[in-house]
Amino acid sequence: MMLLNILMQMQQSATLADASDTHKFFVPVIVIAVIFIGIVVYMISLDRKIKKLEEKK
Amino acid sequence: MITWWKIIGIICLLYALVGGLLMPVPDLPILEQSIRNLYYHVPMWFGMTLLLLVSAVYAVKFLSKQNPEHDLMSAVFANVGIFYGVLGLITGMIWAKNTWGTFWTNDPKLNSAAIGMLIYLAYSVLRSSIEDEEKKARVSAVYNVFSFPIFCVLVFVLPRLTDSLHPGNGGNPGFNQYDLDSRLRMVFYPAVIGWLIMGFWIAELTIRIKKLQFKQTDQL
Repeated sequence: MMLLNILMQMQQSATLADASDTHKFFVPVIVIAVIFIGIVVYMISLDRKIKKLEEKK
Repeated sequence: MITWWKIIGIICLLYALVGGLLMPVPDLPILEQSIRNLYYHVPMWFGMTLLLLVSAVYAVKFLSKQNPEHDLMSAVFANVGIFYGVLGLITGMIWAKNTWGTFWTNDPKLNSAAIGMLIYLAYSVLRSSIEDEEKKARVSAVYNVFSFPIFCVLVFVLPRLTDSLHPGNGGNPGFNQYDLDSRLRMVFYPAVIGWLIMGFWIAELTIRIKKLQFKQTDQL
Protein backbone atom coordinates (compact mmCIF):
# COMPACT_ATOMS: atom_id res chain seq x y z
CA MET A 1 0.00 0.00 0.00
CA MET A 2 2.87 2.38 0.85
CA LEU A 3 4.44 1.65 -2.49
CA LEU A 4 1.14 2.28 -4.27
CA ASN A 5 0.77 5.65 -2.54
CA ILE A 6 4.27 6.68 -3.54
CA LEU A 7 3.58 5.52 -7.08
CA MET A 8 0.40 7.54 -7.19
CA GLN A 9 2.06 10.68 -5.89
CA MET A 10 4.75 10.25 -8.51
CA GLN A 11 2.16 9.85 -11.20
CA GLN A 12 0.19 12.88 -10.02
CA SER A 13 3.24 15.11 -10.06
CA ALA A 14 4.16 13.69 -13.43
CA THR A 15 0.79 14.57 -14.93
CA LEU A 16 1.07 18.11 -13.57
CA ALA A 17 4.37 18.64 -15.33
CA ASP A 18 3.25 16.84 -18.52
CA ALA A 19 5.65 13.92 -18.38
CA SER A 20 7.10 13.81 -21.87
CA ASP A 21 7.95 17.52 -22.01
CA THR A 22 9.99 17.49 -18.81
CA HIS A 23 13.75 17.54 -18.99
CA LYS A 24 15.61 14.26 -18.40
CA PHE A 25 12.43 12.29 -19.08
CA PHE A 26 14.57 10.10 -21.31
CA VAL A 27 16.38 8.72 -18.23
CA PRO A 28 13.55 6.53 -16.87
CA VAL A 29 12.73 5.55 -20.46
CA ILE A 30 16.26 4.21 -20.90
CA VAL A 31 16.09 2.59 -17.44
CA ILE A 32 12.88 0.76 -18.38
CA ALA A 33 14.50 -0.39 -21.63
CA VAL A 34 17.60 -1.63 -19.73
CA ILE A 35 15.48 -3.53 -17.18
CA PHE A 36 13.44 -5.11 -19.97
CA ILE A 37 16.58 -6.13 -21.87
CA GLY A 38 17.93 -7.61 -18.63
CA ILE A 39 14.79 -9.72 -18.18
CA VAL A 40 15.00 -10.86 -21.81
CA VAL A 41 18.66 -11.86 -21.42
CA TYR A 42 17.70 -13.85 -18.31
CA MET A 43 14.87 -15.58 -20.18
CA ILE A 44 17.20 -16.46 -23.06
CA SER A 45 19.71 -17.97 -20.63
CA LEU A 46 16.89 -19.96 -18.99
CA ASP A 47 15.84 -21.13 -22.44
CA ARG A 48 19.38 -22.37 -23.16
CA LYS A 49 19.74 -24.11 -19.79
CA ILE A 50 16.50 -26.01 -20.40
CA LYS A 51 17.70 -26.92 -23.90
CA LYS A 52 20.91 -28.38 -22.46
CA LEU A 53 18.89 -30.47 -19.99
CA GLU A 54 16.67 -31.67 -22.84
CA GLU A 55 19.68 -32.72 -24.92
CA LYS A 56 21.15 -34.68 -21.99
CA LYS A 57 18.07 -36.89 -21.74
CA MET B 1 19.65 -20.08 -31.08
CA ILE B 2 16.33 -18.78 -29.86
CA THR B 3 13.50 -19.05 -32.34
CA TRP B 4 12.38 -16.24 -34.64
CA TRP B 5 9.02 -15.60 -32.97
CA LYS B 6 10.74 -14.81 -29.70
CA ILE B 7 12.92 -12.23 -31.43
CA ILE B 8 9.80 -10.63 -32.98
CA GLY B 9 8.25 -10.48 -29.51
CA ILE B 10 11.33 -8.85 -27.97
CA ILE B 11 11.48 -6.21 -30.71
CA CYS B 12 7.73 -5.48 -30.46
CA LEU B 13 7.89 -5.13 -26.68
CA LEU B 14 11.00 -2.95 -26.65
CA TYR B 15 9.37 -0.68 -29.24
CA ALA B 16 6.07 -0.61 -27.35
CA LEU B 17 7.64 0.01 -23.93
CA VAL B 18 9.77 2.93 -25.13
CA GLY B 19 7.35 4.21 -27.78
CA GLY B 20 4.50 4.09 -25.30
CA LEU B 21 6.33 6.64 -23.16
CA LEU B 22 7.72 8.86 -25.89
CA MET B 23 5.11 8.94 -28.67
CA PRO B 24 2.68 11.88 -28.65
CA VAL B 25 -0.80 11.05 -27.30
CA PRO B 26 -4.14 12.86 -27.56
CA ASP B 27 -4.64 15.33 -24.72
CA LEU B 28 -7.90 14.44 -22.93
CA PRO B 29 -9.39 15.73 -19.67
CA ILE B 30 -9.19 13.42 -16.62
CA LEU B 31 -7.11 10.86 -18.54
CA GLU B 32 -4.30 13.26 -19.48
CA GLN B 33 -0.96 11.44 -19.69
CA SER B 34 -2.43 8.33 -18.04
CA ILE B 35 -3.84 7.48 -21.48
CA ARG B 36 -0.44 5.83 -22.00
CA ASN B 37 -1.68 3.03 -19.77
CA LEU B 38 -3.50 1.85 -22.90
CA TYR B 39 -0.13 0.44 -24.01
CA TYR B 40 0.49 -1.44 -20.75
CA HIS B 41 -2.80 -2.27 -19.03
CA VAL B 42 -4.95 -3.25 -22.01
CA PRO B 43 -2.44 -5.70 -23.60
CA MET B 44 -2.56 -7.68 -20.33
CA TRP B 45 -6.28 -8.39 -20.87
CA PHE B 46 -5.89 -9.01 -24.62
CA GLY B 47 -3.02 -11.34 -23.80
CA MET B 48 -4.99 -13.10 -21.07
CA THR B 49 -7.98 -13.69 -23.35
CA LEU B 50 -5.85 -15.09 -26.17
CA LEU B 51 -3.85 -17.30 -23.80
CA LEU B 52 -7.09 -18.63 -22.33
CA LEU B 53 -8.37 -19.27 -25.87
CA VAL B 54 -5.25 -21.34 -26.60
CA SER B 55 -5.83 -23.16 -23.31
CA ALA B 56 -9.44 -23.96 -24.29
CA VAL B 57 -8.32 -25.15 -27.76
CA TYR B 58 -5.86 -27.58 -26.16
CA ALA B 59 -8.61 -28.73 -23.79
CA VAL B 60 -10.78 -29.60 -26.82
CA LYS B 61 -7.80 -31.32 -28.45
CA PHE B 62 -7.23 -33.34 -25.30
CA LEU B 63 -10.86 -34.43 -25.15
CA SER B 64 -10.79 -35.62 -28.77
CA LYS B 65 -7.35 -37.32 -28.77
CA GLN B 66 -6.72 -38.11 -25.07
CA ASN B 67 -3.09 -37.01 -25.42
CA PRO B 68 -1.71 -36.09 -21.94
CA GLU B 69 0.63 -33.56 -23.56
CA HIS B 70 -2.38 -31.49 -24.63
CA ASP B 71 -3.64 -31.51 -21.03
CA LEU B 72 -0.28 -30.19 -19.82
CA MET B 73 -0.31 -27.40 -22.43
CA SER B 74 -3.90 -26.47 -21.63
CA ALA B 75 -3.08 -26.17 -17.91
CA VAL B 76 0.09 -24.12 -18.42
CA PHE B 77 -1.56 -21.68 -20.85
CA ALA B 78 -4.43 -21.20 -18.40
CA ASN B 79 -1.95 -20.44 -15.62
CA VAL B 80 -0.06 -17.87 -17.67
CA GLY B 81 -3.44 -16.36 -18.61
CA ILE B 82 -4.36 -16.07 -14.92
CA PHE B 83 -0.99 -14.44 -14.25
CA TYR B 84 -1.68 -11.83 -16.96
CA GLY B 85 -5.16 -11.31 -15.54
CA VAL B 86 -3.76 -10.57 -12.08
CA LEU B 87 -1.37 -8.04 -13.60
CA GLY B 88 -4.30 -6.56 -15.57
CA LEU B 89 -6.37 -6.21 -12.40
CA ILE B 90 -3.56 -4.53 -10.43
CA THR B 91 -2.65 -2.11 -13.24
CA GLY B 92 -6.34 -1.37 -13.81
CA MET B 93 -6.79 -0.55 -10.12
CA ILE B 94 -3.85 1.87 -10.14
CA TRP B 95 -5.29 3.51 -13.25
CA ALA B 96 -8.78 3.68 -11.71
CA LYS B 97 -7.43 5.32 -8.54
CA ASN B 98 -5.91 8.11 -10.62
CA THR B 99 -8.83 8.72 -12.97
CA TRP B 100 -12.02 7.58 -11.23
CA GLY B 101 -10.68 8.35 -7.75
CA THR B 102 -10.97 4.88 -6.27
CA PHE B 103 -9.22 1.53 -6.62
CA TRP B 104 -12.45 -0.36 -7.13
CA THR B 105 -16.02 0.57 -8.01
CA ASN B 106 -18.93 -1.80 -8.40
CA ASP B 107 -18.77 -1.29 -12.12
CA PRO B 108 -20.12 -4.15 -14.29
CA LYS B 109 -16.84 -4.39 -16.22
CA LEU B 110 -14.76 -4.62 -13.06
CA ASN B 111 -17.01 -7.07 -11.27
CA SER B 112 -17.29 -9.24 -14.39
CA ALA B 113 -13.52 -9.31 -14.71
CA ALA B 114 -13.27 -10.31 -11.04
CA ILE B 115 -15.80 -13.12 -11.52
CA GLY B 116 -13.95 -14.23 -14.64
CA MET B 117 -10.72 -14.41 -12.64
CA LEU B 118 -12.48 -16.42 -9.92
CA ILE B 119 -13.73 -18.90 -12.54
CA TYR B 120 -10.16 -19.55 -13.63
CA LEU B 121 -8.84 -19.65 -10.06
CA ALA B 122 -11.44 -22.34 -9.45
CA TYR B 123 -9.93 -24.17 -12.45
CA SER B 124 -6.56 -24.24 -10.65
CA VAL B 125 -8.20 -25.44 -7.44
CA LEU B 126 -10.08 -28.13 -9.36
CA ARG B 127 -6.86 -29.38 -10.94
CA SER B 128 -4.97 -29.56 -7.68
CA SER B 129 -7.83 -31.32 -5.88
CA ILE B 130 -7.99 -34.41 -8.13
CA GLU B 131 -5.27 -36.99 -7.52
CA ASP B 132 -5.83 -39.32 -10.46
CA GLU B 133 -3.99 -37.86 -13.50
CA GLU B 134 -6.42 -39.09 -16.14
CA LYS B 135 -9.50 -38.00 -14.23
CA LYS B 136 -7.89 -34.63 -13.48
CA ALA B 137 -7.14 -34.08 -17.15
CA ARG B 138 -10.63 -34.99 -18.31
CA VAL B 139 -12.59 -33.06 -15.66
CA SER B 140 -10.45 -29.93 -15.98
CA ALA B 141 -10.63 -30.02 -19.79
CA VAL B 142 -14.44 -30.11 -19.68
CA TYR B 143 -14.45 -27.29 -17.10
CA ASN B 144 -12.06 -25.28 -19.28
CA VAL B 145 -14.20 -25.65 -22.41
CA PHE B 146 -17.24 -24.33 -20.53
CA SER B 147 -15.46 -21.55 -18.64
CA PHE B 148 -13.91 -19.83 -21.67
CA PRO B 149 -17.21 -18.79 -23.31
CA ILE B 150 -18.58 -17.74 -19.91
CA PHE B 151 -15.47 -15.63 -19.35
CA CYS B 152 -15.94 -13.97 -22.76
CA VAL B 153 -19.60 -13.23 -22.12
CA LEU B 154 -18.79 -11.80 -18.68
CA VAL B 155 -15.98 -9.55 -19.83
CA PHE B 156 -17.01 -8.58 -23.37
CA VAL B 157 -20.79 -8.88 -23.62
CA LEU B 158 -22.52 -8.17 -20.29
CA PRO B 159 -20.70 -4.88 -19.48
CA ARG B 160 -21.72 -3.54 -22.90
CA LEU B 161 -25.40 -4.06 -22.13
CA THR B 162 -25.48 -1.81 -19.04
CA ASP B 163 -23.95 1.46 -17.86
CA SER B 164 -20.26 1.28 -17.23
CA LEU B 165 -17.43 3.66 -16.43
CA HIS B 166 -14.95 1.55 -18.31
CA PRO B 167 -14.08 2.75 -21.85
CA GLY B 168 -15.68 0.75 -24.64
CA ASN B 169 -18.67 -0.30 -22.51
CA GLY B 170 -22.24 0.78 -21.84
CA GLY B 171 -22.28 3.52 -24.48
CA ASN B 172 -18.87 4.78 -23.36
CA PRO B 173 -16.49 5.37 -26.26
CA GLY B 174 -13.48 3.08 -26.55
CA PHE B 175 -10.03 4.48 -27.22
CA ASN B 176 -10.45 3.96 -30.96
CA GLN B 177 -12.63 7.11 -30.94
CA TYR B 178 -9.73 9.28 -29.77
CA ASP B 179 -7.32 7.69 -32.17
CA LEU B 180 -7.93 10.03 -35.09
CA ASP B 181 -4.58 9.53 -36.83
CA SER B 182 -3.91 5.94 -35.70
CA ARG B 183 -1.03 7.05 -33.50
CA LEU B 184 -2.34 5.03 -30.56
CA ARG B 185 -2.71 1.94 -32.72
CA MET B 186 0.90 2.17 -33.92
CA VAL B 187 2.11 1.41 -30.40
CA PHE B 188 -0.91 -0.52 -29.11
CA TYR B 189 -0.89 -3.38 -31.60
CA PRO B 190 2.86 -4.11 -31.28
CA ALA B 191 2.34 -4.04 -27.49
CA VAL B 192 -0.43 -6.64 -27.73
CA ILE B 193 1.63 -8.85 -30.06
CA GLY B 194 4.73 -8.46 -27.89
CA TRP B 195 3.01 -9.32 -24.61
CA LEU B 196 1.20 -12.22 -26.24
CA ILE B 197 4.51 -13.65 -27.49
CA MET B 198 6.01 -13.08 -24.02
CA GLY B 199 3.13 -15.13 -22.58
CA PHE B 200 3.77 -17.90 -25.12
CA TRP B 201 7.45 -17.85 -24.23
CA ILE B 202 6.78 -18.15 -20.49
CA ALA B 203 4.29 -20.96 -21.19
CA GLU B 204 6.76 -22.74 -23.49
CA LEU B 205 9.52 -22.68 -20.85
CA THR B 206 7.13 -23.98 -18.19
CA ILE B 207 5.92 -26.79 -20.46
CA ARG B 208 9.50 -27.86 -21.22
CA ILE B 209 10.44 -27.90 -17.52
CA LYS B 210 7.31 -29.93 -16.68
CA LYS B 211 8.15 -32.45 -19.41
CA LEU B 212 11.69 -32.81 -18.04
CA GLN B 213 10.21 -33.37 -14.58
CA PHE B 214 7.92 -36.10 -15.92
CA LYS B 215 10.85 -37.82 -17.62
CA GLN B 216 12.84 -37.67 -14.39
CA THR B 217 10.08 -39.23 -12.31
CA ASP B 218 9.64 -41.97 -14.93
CA GLN B 219 13.29 -42.93 -14.64
CA LEU B 220 13.30 -43.12 -10.86
